[in-house]
Amino acid sequence: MTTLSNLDQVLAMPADTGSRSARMWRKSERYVLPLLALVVLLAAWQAIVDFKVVNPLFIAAPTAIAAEIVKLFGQSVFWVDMKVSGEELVIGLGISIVLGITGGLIYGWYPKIRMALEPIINGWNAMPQIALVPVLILLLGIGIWSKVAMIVLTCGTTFWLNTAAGIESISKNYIRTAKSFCVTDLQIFRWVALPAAFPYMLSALRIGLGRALIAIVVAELYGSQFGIGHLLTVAANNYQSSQEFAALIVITAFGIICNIGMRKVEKWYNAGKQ
Amino acid sequence: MVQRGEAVNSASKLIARSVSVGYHNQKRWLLAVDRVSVEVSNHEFVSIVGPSGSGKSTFLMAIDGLVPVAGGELIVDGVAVNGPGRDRAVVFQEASLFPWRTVGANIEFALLANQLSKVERNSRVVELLSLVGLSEFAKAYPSQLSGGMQQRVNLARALAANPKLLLLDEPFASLDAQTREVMQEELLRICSAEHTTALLVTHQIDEAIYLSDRVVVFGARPGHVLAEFKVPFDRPRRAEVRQDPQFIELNQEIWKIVRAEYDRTTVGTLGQVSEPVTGN
Ligand SMILES: Nc1ncnc2c1ncn2[C@@H]1O[C@H](COP(=O)(O)OP(=O)(O)OP(=O)(O)O)[C@@H](O)[C@H]1O
Ligand SMILES: [Mg+2]
Repeated sequence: MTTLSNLDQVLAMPADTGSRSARMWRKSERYVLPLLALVVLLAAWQAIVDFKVVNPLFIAAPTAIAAEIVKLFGQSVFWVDMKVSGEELVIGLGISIVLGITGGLIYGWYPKIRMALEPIINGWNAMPQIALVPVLILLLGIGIWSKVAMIVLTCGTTFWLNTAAGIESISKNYIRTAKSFCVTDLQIFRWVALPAAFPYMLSALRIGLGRALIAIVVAELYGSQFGIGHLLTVAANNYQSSQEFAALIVITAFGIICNIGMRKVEKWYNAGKQ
Repeated sequence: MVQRGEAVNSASKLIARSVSVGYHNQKRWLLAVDRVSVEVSNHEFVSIVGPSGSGKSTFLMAIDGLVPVAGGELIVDGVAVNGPGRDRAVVFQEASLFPWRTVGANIEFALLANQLSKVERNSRVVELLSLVGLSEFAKAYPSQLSGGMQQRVNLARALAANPKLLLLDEPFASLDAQTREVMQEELLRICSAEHTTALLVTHQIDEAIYLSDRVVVFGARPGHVLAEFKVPFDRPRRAEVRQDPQFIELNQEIWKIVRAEYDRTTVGTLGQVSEPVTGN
């Protein structure tokens, strides 16, 4: 019954119905459910190892991995590896950004250049570029430059194609409007083409970060002296599966943080601009 | 005699003599505007009405210099049109505000071609924002504004560089009836304040009559001038002028011509031209 005394509650009904605990549950279930799934998975994993279904030498238990992560963080060798991989990432991404964006802008802006290069670029993009790791190590050695080159080849492609797609997305209306206001071609490039393509470059950075991590780890696994991939190799060679998984989880966590961070940056930048 | 000819010329803001404009459409040549002659005097407000696809936008783009003429002559202030110029500005039919620029920055865009300092540009932007009543929205993005507000920004941007000839391509087409009426009055106020000469394309015959000194009627493809009417009302005009019997009569006369043009070119289907509202 609707009476004046409970009118407030009745009006509030559509937003939150049911008892207080039901409401609390609806608010928290999107965090609780995934967490629950994770806990079940980890428990199963722990049980499989504890009951010796698999050899702990090959697959470490979650508790052992957690302990190993804490231990790793206290070791200076680990931080050396992180530093080397980090350097590769920063240098590789930097070069990718410069080369990929420059190439993508030229490729997107001049139809004739695009026409000439399109089959090559599409072919290159279809190729699993990571397979070039052995060649790069032969060419550049097992130091950081083979890894940097691998990042540039994969991420540079992402920047190139995304930037070109951004240029391509510019509506003819915008170019026409700009022309109507008598600005120069250079101004159109600076004030119309670049800002229109910028959100595409931001997405390229997010996708590129993910691809760069793969490039680093694979290239380091193949041949390296330092780096997170090197740590993985050493651990695997010494049957230290807990260390191997610990390193893997550190990389994954870094990848997830980068992805979430970049999504936030994109959302912030694009806010209001459609 | 020559002197007199010059005197007539200098009173004309725009002279279009037998202007033809066409497009290359998949190797085919398509004539969109066929030998159109229109003249607009200084401080005059002229409207073009006509069926959809009759080359009204194309004609306007040609005057702005965005589309080259295929034949005839286009003269603005005694000089032949050759590409876009700062003496003309367009309010486009399609969405044309830059979504990545704030309202203020969109208006400022019109001033980039002028040799103005940042401070001078800013003060002009502030002036225009207050002219169109959007002072609080300088920092907003276009997507955060209503359709009517966006069109006011469009208008402000077109006016920013003080164009001598304002070209308006259905600027109020997407607005509801009330907003449109308010905007029409605002446009009249702004044009008389800034001494702008204006050429407006519209589908609303009543809008054309209410705003203009003259109405030019375009015929269907390829666009050509069918008729021209002088609007017999003085300025400033009140909104009540729309109820004047002369207004209604003119409205119906123009509507008949446009309607006949639709009937001639399309079989049975009615175009976008709105029927005049008769009575009260
Ligand atoms: N960019 C273009 N390329 C090729 N053809 C075009 C182009 N723009 C317009 N046309 C053609 O020119 C003709 C006239 O078009 P225009 O846009 O000038 O008509 P309009 O009178 O403004 O129509 P509406 O009232 O619907 O806006 C049409 O047949 C159209 O197909
Ligand atoms: Mg049009």
